[in-house]
Amino acid sequence: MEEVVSSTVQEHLDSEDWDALYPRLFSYARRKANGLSFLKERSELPLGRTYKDLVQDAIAKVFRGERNWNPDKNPDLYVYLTSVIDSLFSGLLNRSGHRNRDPLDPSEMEGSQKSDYNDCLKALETLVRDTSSDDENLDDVRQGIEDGMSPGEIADFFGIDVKEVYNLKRKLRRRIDRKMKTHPCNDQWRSSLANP
Amino acid sequence: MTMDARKQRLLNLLDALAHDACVDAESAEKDLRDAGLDPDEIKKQGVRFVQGLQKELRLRNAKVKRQQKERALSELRERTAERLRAYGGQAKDILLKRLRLHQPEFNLNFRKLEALDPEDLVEILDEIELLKLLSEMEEDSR
Repeated sequence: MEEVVSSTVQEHLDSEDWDALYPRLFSYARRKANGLSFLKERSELPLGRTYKDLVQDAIAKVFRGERNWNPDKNPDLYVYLTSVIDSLFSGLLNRSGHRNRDPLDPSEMEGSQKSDYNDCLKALETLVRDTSSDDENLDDVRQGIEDGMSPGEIADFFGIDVKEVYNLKRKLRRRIDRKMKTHPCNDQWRSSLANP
Repeated sequence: MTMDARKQRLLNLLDALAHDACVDAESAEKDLRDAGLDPDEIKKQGVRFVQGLQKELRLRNAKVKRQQKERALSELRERTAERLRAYGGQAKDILLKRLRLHQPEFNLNFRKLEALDPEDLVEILDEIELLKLLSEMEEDSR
């Protein structure tokens, strides 16, 4: 049996402020689950898992050396763990898709499932477009984010101050949150995702 | 644009906004409160969970270190026993002398020690004495 994680990693994990980090990971996973739920990927995560399980699985994998965290390469543990959470979400959805033939690819969907998926995808597209349509800078930031650009890249590309990009991102989030919460496609309050 | 590409753009947006909501502990706690959850309870659960993992990791690393040490000692004993074979009948005397001088706790049972084979005596020598003996024998053979 080899050492589970190096003593350096163990020291980093021991000195981490978990009181601050854990709620951040929890909130991130909750939002991710709700986004997927809105898109009708699932009304709940497959195989009886909740987003809380995925947060804890991600942390446990680092502690058990199943994910090799390198603090020199990835000094921010929040960034590293959210990437693990992303990968667990994706793995879980794909695995369940295989087992249950519950299609994730919209082209494999049938009947009302496909129509729900298409309706909610279109609804979300419209919702986010409407959210930023009254403000040109806000719309630029939205499009930049959708293109996968970082705040710095958005600032450079659209000629907006980077601090303003962050402010606009926050404004966009608040507006989208409000609209998503009351939208008919949003079943987060009914699903097990919201209350693990 | 394909459906997948359109979906990916939306997921990029939702992921980025999720990170924005969790940019620091204060924002994340506010986000959880806004969602009707209790951040203090979540924090407590999280810290409890991590403490369990920290304990598990410490125990597992201690076990691994113990096993590594045992493996190293066993290899050391094998090397010493192999070297001692070159000393033939003298091997037992060398070991007994060593035990008498450096591990006096065995003096009371010396008669019993004399009845043992060199291989068994090697098992009794402690790590430091094994290292000293091995290095002396290696020195002799040069």
